[in-house]
Amino acid sequence: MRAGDPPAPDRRAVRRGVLGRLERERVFKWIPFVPVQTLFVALLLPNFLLLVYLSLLSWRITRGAWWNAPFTGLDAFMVAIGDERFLWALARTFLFAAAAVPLELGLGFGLALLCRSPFRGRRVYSTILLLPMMIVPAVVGYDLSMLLIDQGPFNQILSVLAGRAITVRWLSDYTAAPLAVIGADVWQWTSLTFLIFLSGFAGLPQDPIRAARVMGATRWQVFRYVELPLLKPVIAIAVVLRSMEALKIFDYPMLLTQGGPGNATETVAVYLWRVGWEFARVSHAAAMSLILLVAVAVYVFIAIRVLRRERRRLAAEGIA
Amino acid sequence: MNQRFTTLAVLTLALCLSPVVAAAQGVPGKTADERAINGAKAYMKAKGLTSLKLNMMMPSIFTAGSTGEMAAFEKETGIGVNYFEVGILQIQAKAMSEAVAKSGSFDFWIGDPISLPDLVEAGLARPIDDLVAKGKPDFDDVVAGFVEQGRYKGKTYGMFGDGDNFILVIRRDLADKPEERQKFKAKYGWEPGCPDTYQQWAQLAEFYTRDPKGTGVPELYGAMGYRARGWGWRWWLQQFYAKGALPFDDGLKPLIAGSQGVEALKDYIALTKYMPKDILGWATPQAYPFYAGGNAFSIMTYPSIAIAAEHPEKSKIAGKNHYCLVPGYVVNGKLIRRSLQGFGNLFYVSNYSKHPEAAYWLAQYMTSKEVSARLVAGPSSVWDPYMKSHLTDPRVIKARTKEMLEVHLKNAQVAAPMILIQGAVEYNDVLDQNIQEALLGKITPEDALKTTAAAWEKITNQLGRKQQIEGWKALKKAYPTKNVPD
Repeated sequence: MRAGDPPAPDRRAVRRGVLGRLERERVFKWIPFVPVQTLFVALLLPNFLLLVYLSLLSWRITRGAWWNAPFTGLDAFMVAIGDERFLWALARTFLFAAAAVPLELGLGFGLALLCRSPFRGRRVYSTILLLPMMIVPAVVGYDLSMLLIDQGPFNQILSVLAGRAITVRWLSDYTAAPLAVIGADVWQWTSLTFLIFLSGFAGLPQDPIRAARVMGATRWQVFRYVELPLLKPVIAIAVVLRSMEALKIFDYPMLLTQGGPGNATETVAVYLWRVGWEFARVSHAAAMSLILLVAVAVYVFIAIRVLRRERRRLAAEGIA
Repeated sequence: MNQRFTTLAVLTLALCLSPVVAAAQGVPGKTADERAINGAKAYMKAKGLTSLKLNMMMPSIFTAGSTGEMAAFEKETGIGVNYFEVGILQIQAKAMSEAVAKSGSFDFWIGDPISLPDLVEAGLARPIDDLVAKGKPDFDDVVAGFVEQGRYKGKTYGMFGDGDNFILVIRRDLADKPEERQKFKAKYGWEPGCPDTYQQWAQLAEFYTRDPKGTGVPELYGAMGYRARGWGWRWWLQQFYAKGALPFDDGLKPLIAGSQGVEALKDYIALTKYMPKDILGWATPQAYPFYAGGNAFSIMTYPSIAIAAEHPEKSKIAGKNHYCLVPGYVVNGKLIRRSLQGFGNLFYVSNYSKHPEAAYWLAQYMTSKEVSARLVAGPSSVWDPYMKSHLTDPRVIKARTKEMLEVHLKNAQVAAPMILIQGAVEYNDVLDQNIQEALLGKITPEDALKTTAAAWEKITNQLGRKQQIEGWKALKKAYPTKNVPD
């Protein structure tokens, strides 16, 4: 470089520009998500805004176009809150989820525990255990509607096992029908929790486990004090995923019982479907679905907070 | 000059009037199915098409009996059908979503009359009076009252194709046993046979329920009817009508919660104890084979039960059935029988179809005397007789028995419609829900009907009383005037 020449551009200065900003992890890590998120927002946001708008109208499908429907503010929400059947359906749905999800988690965890170590035929068992979640829920519902009639194969098997005639009315008894719906959900979706937990076990860091063993911990102690805490984030993910799905349960009550007997199995999704598409009260259905959205969002928010707290705790303990 | 002017005027007038005359003359053909084929051919020619596939939504239980006839129509005209199956109780929701989407995803569909008012108001069902005038379908042969099921506010929207008014079937072989007859008469004071009243049916049900081992699972159930969600309310409504009652007064105030409704509901609940315990979850796919398996003495159901009950291979009771007029109630010294038109499928044409006329021709073909007889007589058919000519058609007689046909068409004389006004699905759903709650003992019959009446008032107010009253006035004309059939 000769004297008088303009100074060469500082490479580091250039890096501090656009590329530099991109190179910084905080920015770069978001870039791959931009197309997906843009698509997501473009597809969902208009629908969501339309849903909110419809909930502020008084529109029935049988009363002309929605853009001509009168604006009624929060009336549809008041109707929803005052609709005893909706509130019961909401409560019933949470009750179903509260019964089904722990069962699915427990069974999925137990099965994953059995299949975590290599043994002969492990792949075959794992594949068989994953099959139920690959079946279309409507098919499961239809098949079960035939298997569960009071003189059907399910009761016949129970009769053989019990050594006496079992005639539980799985589809028409006020108490048994909800159990049948929960049972159908558990049968199909335990596969998913099994898969999540199997992956969780496979991804466990081995160092703390080895260290515990070296220090003389029993198998139970290793499981209880090392593996289980490490699996908590996985458990939280399984809880969130399954709860979100269980709160939308529609196929089984619809195909098994039509929401009956009475309203014993009418979940919020079934009721929303009726209000919107059978009764043509779209604005009411929109308001109800927004109330459901808030309820589910609160639940998921709490679950995610628990998940984060666990992660932070594990990070602080230097385990994860 | 004058002569030329007159000639020109006549020619111009003739030219102007020719389409009107052509329309009035309609499509050539001696029979409705011929006219449907000719109309379809003319349509294809006018559009310059050699083949056309229409999209159709159809309840799954109707496919088996219908596809052969659709294929025959395609062979003749080039108009074929891509059909997709939907559960019979889900048709309304699917149609309603199309009313919003306006996509033209199906050209026509088969659905029940309950959804007609809503689907007309939603703009999906197309009025077909113009095409009816052209094609001249066999409406004259349809049993009185049924054609009305396809009309709304003075226009025709649906081609009637399924005479679904209820029938009672009892086991002739069991009722005719001399020793049983003696025992029955000694106990109840009348010879067992077709009951005139619901009280008599309950007596038959009680007598013929057989549980010799006392297991609580009888070897023979005395009665069957539908009690499942989505279905059971229809069976109560029939009993309520037989009380000589109507669901609303002229101002659309509900009348169901009075003594007539409560008594009918109490009888309905009482009869259920002679039915299989699981009946609360059953519809046709479970009920028909159960009865045909010889497990029950009597069943009140759709007329297609005859296909299952008389099936030479699948039924254990073929030739052992007695088809009965629906029972009724004695009101002010007079017997009133009512047979509910408990489903009754119609062919609807979509307003968003690109080929509504082609869809109409196929509907006319399927509901013509000749083709409907073949459909009704089909081995897997659930299409039920609805034409006078079905009574004498040997194919239908062979499939259904002469006795069944005569009784069925007599029942049709006292056939009453379901509640077919706007919001019908919601009115009926609330009724259904409360009837089931009463059946399960969760609430009393009185409370069930009071709750229903209150909910109906709410629905009426939401929909607008004035408009609903108009719909109700029109529907009232479809109720039978006779108390008993001729």
